[in-house]
Amino acid sequence: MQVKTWVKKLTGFYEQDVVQAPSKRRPKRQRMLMVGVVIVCFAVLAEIFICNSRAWEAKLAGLPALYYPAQQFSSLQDCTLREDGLLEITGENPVFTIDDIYQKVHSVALDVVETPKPFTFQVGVCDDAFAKGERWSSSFTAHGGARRSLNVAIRSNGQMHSLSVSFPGEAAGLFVTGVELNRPVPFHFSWLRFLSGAAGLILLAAAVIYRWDRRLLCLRNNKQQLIYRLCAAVLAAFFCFTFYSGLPADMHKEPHGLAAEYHPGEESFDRYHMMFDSLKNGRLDLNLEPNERLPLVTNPYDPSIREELEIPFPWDIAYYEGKFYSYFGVAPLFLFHLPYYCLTGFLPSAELATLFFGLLFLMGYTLCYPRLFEYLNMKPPFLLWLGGYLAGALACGALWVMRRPLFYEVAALCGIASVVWMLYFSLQTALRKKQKPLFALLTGIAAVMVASSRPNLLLYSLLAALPLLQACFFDRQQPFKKRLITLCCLAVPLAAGAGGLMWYNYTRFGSVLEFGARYQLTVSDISYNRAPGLGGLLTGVYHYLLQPPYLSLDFPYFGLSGYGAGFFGNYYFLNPMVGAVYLPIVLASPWVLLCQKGRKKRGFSDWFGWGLLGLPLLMVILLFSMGGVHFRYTLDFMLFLLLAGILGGCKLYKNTAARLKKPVFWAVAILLLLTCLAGLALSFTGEYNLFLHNRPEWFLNLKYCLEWWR
Amino acid sequence: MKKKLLPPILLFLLALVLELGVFNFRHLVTALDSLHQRLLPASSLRMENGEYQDGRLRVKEGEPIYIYNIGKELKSVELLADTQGQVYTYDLLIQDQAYSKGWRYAGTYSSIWSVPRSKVASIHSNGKASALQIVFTSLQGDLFLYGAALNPTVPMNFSIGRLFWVSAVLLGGWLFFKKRLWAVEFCPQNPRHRFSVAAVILLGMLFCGYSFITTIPDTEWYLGQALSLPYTGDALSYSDAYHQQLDAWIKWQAELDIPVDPALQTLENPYDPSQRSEAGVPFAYDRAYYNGSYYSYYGVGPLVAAYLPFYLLTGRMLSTQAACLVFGMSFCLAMPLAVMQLLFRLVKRVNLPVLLIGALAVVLGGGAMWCVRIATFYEVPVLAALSFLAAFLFFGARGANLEKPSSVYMALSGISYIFMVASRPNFGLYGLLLAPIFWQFLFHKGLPGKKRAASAAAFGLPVLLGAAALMWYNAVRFDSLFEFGAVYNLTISDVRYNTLFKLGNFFPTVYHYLLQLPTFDLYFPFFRLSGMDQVAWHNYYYAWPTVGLLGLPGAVPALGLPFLAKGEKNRLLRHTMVLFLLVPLFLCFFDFSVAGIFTRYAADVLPIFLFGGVLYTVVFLSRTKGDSADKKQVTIAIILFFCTALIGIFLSFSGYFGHFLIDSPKEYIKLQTVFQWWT
Repeated sequence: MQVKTWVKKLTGFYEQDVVQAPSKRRPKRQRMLMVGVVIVCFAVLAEIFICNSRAWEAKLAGLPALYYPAQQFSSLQDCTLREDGLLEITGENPVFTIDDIYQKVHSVALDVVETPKPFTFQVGVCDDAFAKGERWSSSFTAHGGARRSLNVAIRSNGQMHSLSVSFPGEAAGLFVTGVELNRPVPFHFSWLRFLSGAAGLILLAAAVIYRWDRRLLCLRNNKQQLIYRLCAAVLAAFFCFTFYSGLPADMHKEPHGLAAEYHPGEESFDRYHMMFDSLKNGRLDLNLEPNERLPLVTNPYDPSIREELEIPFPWDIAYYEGKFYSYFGVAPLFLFHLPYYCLTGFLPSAELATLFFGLLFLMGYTLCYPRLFEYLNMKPPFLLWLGGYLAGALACGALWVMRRPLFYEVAALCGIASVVWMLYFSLQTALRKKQKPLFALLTGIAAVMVASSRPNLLLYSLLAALPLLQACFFDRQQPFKKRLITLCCLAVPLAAGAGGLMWYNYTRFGSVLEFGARYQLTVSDISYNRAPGLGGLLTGVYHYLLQPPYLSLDFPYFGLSGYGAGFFGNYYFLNPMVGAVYLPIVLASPWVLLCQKGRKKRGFSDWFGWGLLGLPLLMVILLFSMGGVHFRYTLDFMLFLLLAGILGGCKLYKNTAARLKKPVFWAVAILLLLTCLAGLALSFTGEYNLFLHNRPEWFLNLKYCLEWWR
Repeated sequence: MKKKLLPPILLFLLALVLELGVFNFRHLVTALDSLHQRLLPASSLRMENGEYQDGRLRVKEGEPIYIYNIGKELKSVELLADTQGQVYTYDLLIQDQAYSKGWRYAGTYSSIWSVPRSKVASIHSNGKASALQIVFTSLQGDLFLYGAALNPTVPMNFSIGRLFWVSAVLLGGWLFFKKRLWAVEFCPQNPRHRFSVAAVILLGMLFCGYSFITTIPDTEWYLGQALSLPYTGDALSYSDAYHQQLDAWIKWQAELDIPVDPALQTLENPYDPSQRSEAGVPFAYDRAYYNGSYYSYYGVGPLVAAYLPFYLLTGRMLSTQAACLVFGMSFCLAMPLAVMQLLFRLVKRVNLPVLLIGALAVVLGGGAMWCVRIATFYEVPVLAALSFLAAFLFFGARGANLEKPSSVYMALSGISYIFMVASRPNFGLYGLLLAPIFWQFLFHKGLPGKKRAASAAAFGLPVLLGAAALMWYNAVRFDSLFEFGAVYNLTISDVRYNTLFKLGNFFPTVYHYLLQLPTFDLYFPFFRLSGMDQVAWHNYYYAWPTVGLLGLPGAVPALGLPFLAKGEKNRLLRHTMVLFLLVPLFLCFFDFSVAGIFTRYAADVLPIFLFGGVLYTVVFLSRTKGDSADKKQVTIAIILFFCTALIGIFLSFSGYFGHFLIDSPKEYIKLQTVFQWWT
């Protein structure tokens, strides 16, 4: 009878539609609890059995561990066996071999004496499937302090006959004590991995069960406020971590830590220190004497002439009428270096300055972000709003810039921090029921700071000032007198700042609008940089918006790529880059415009959307034609493009039909998550990979925490 | 009438303006500029130890040629070359006011005399240029320069093809929005709709034909040679494993008629490449070696379907390129029909524009076209399997029609299936795609039992017969019913150690088959298969340039199929949707574990992922309430699939060895000047 029923069920399987069983759902809280328990159990089991698979594998395989001290190594090349039994890596292509193994192998562990620098090694295997040569593995980055990085999974096919180890890259000075095959990887319960994995899954489950896609933003909700502040605190901690993990491990040995003693007249790599010295001595040019041959050449800005005549010159410094000037914006000096010196008597390093301006930016962004949604009268789901906040902070380039803490980055960070503060003050003026002229005054001061740190960011000033100008000119509810005072408060610092800057420019370069960049001594004669033609335009758009990233299976998986885009005059920097569209939320940015349709009249908030999308595109062209291609420059436009994407995603959600709201919500949420991850990945490397070089143990432990199978 | 014609005329005029004003802006800039033009004789071209013959300078690869004392602003340069029609590639370096004591790189240019636009290089001096350096990096034969022209006018490059396609896109866009094409649903009875599907098929076939024509070297072009080779009776005279296998069959033997070096038999492990290499044993590369004989382990499907009939009819061997053409054309014919048939069978409301552009994307973007371009015998079984897969899906969906069941179509489906397996055994898994449809058909109570039994027999009989034949053939060669011979392959590694069930293969599979992006730059053909060999996967796998699902935007929606299936009430559609993702995913894992990473392995799965993408889109759009789909959603879908088709075309142009440039340089450079119009 039962067989008949089954046959009937099976044969009629596709005859009828799926019938939804009547809902017997438990209360949400109970369901969440159950799911939470399941997730935690799963996370524990995954941590024990999956993420520690290499520890179990060693036990289950039952393969004997074989230790080979350095004395047993043969075919030594570019390395020397010392009397104390250590193998010292000496030359450029060091290789050593272990012969006559004849054992199945699943892992190779190097024993080295700990050195400050990380190194890379490759393993060549000769086994049953490749018996008369060596098959080389890919490179492994390792460090003595990260034991797990020295024990890598190398599986032989059949029995391993012999093994070779090579050290590509700089490994001179490394001491190898021995190699152990089949060394068990110790069981390690990673709390970081467990907690982050479990928390992520629980959050996802909560979002599904409690339908967070329906929970809209309410800025007065205390819970939401608390979560937002918590996220801001976590972000601030991460900014600090980025700063700290990029510092050399022996920084504490420096006499003044991150600051330097001020020695009048001393040449320094940090241009801000030199500017400080000049200002302290009451002069505008730097205290540097040009080589006597430099004024004599026909075109001192031509790098080929300087190179041919071998004229020494300070790099990236403006040279004008026989004197050297720093063309970097002066604002960081007044905002940070000068006060720091007054307080401590020392000059802050560029690392400290980037941390200061990074945190200043984060603070301004955190204050500004909710106000922006208030101004645009948008109430997206809280989760999207929060994700947007995180994506903006993580992927705007500030963290990447902090990983390259040089004086170039100080100006860039100061510029973007000034822009967000200007926007915040402007929004505060517009959103207050009673206009406060103080905010207008601060808006003006912030605008001056923008101009005096990174002049090209002035492009955003109009956008940032838009809410304030709207309030001054069109807010009829405010008395005329009040509005006039507000306007004056904006105009006074603007006029004073503009006057000051023009005087500063004129005194140095004989022109009120010349900041000195065109007189810099660098890779090319910048005075020939010009607005790009159609070909250059395409190239600029390619590099800044479309250039694919470097994706890999090696931590941190997502990085900058160096694909070329064709010839464009060679008057531009051409550094590794990734296009903005690979920070996926940017793909939603067109909706910031598209969703305006249907209204009879465009409001200010609509123009704000146009500005958010249009100005970054204009900035891309400006950056490419004046500077070239460098990921640092993306800081100048990425934040606004990301904001356009975040607002676009929220508008898309708002304008979608009710039945599609849920998929759209999750699509935008995934885009935001991917953007956050891409931003995080970029922040781990930076241009010089300082995290790996300065804190190799942390970097490699994090890597092997994520790549447990290696 | 006049009013109706006005918009198309205006759009054509717009295309004309774009062609003249934008795509030829270099011509306009140089024609309108008042820069002084100058013609320099060969004597002005300086070269160390230069050989001057009859007032011409003989060019040497890598030897720089200098032009000094220019003293003018430079916008363009033309090298006056006396060539035999070969391509010459050169680097230009310049000295100007901004860089006066060294050489600044000013671009790399490829030229051929028959494409006038390619002869003029657009460069920009900063201020006045003082000198120019020319370094020829690639020469195919003797090249003589009889001078150079400074600031010549860049020739007008009026491309009728570009004008046609731009007009077509503009007109298509206008019709799409103005005539509400976005709202049209597919109706198989409508002759216009049938004509549209035929147009898609024709377009695919035209491109396939174009790819075939351009694989034949310019210098050797005549159709007879391109299509066939004489039968010599000497297996060693052929490099194509299918020719060697056919030669063996003609001689009534299963093993290839290639002598085995005795030293190979004495090796401890002949499959270990290091042992073969150390002993210096000559061997037949990529052939199976078993019991002292060589065998071809490539699927016999193409041999039975194309090579053998051609030989029986003409007495000649079908050329490898022609075999690729035959199967490429079959794929172009069958795949749009399969897409149409299956979608209409599963989803009742199919948006016509999405169906058409989606089918085009599956054909052009799925990798089949780059196989036609590469056209070695390795690609033949892939193309054959793809075309038989498309035929299997089409005939299967058509034959298992509940309203009009057909045993003939079912038989054709069965034959296609067995030929698919015989071409590439791993494709056997794709049989699962039709499993729900066949299941429903087999047990549908509305159909007479006889009819169902006849259809089942019509499908099953060829499958069983074919399977038995294949097993017999395997047993004859390798003493095992299920051994196709790949494990006995003499190749870069001992393939016997490749294992399927290794979880460590999971992440690399996901990366290479799903996430790996093509490289994208501004040099024609813009998209290239990327060769990011991230990790040597224990070195037992090929790691060649490839592209993952993410590189083809139209395939990305396929990843959402399970989510869409979740809310689907129709079980048939629900399960088919899930299978359209799971089956190719498993095949990715299988391909990676057993073989590795290769351009053609990506072609095993990309068409089905793209098919899945189209399926997702069509189902998503069909769920719209009301009469028609949403305009914005259809537009986005069309753009997605259009871009996918374009990326597929560009990837096929690049191939992985630059075949196109090598085989048909003239055509390649012509296309380069058309697409890369801004340089």
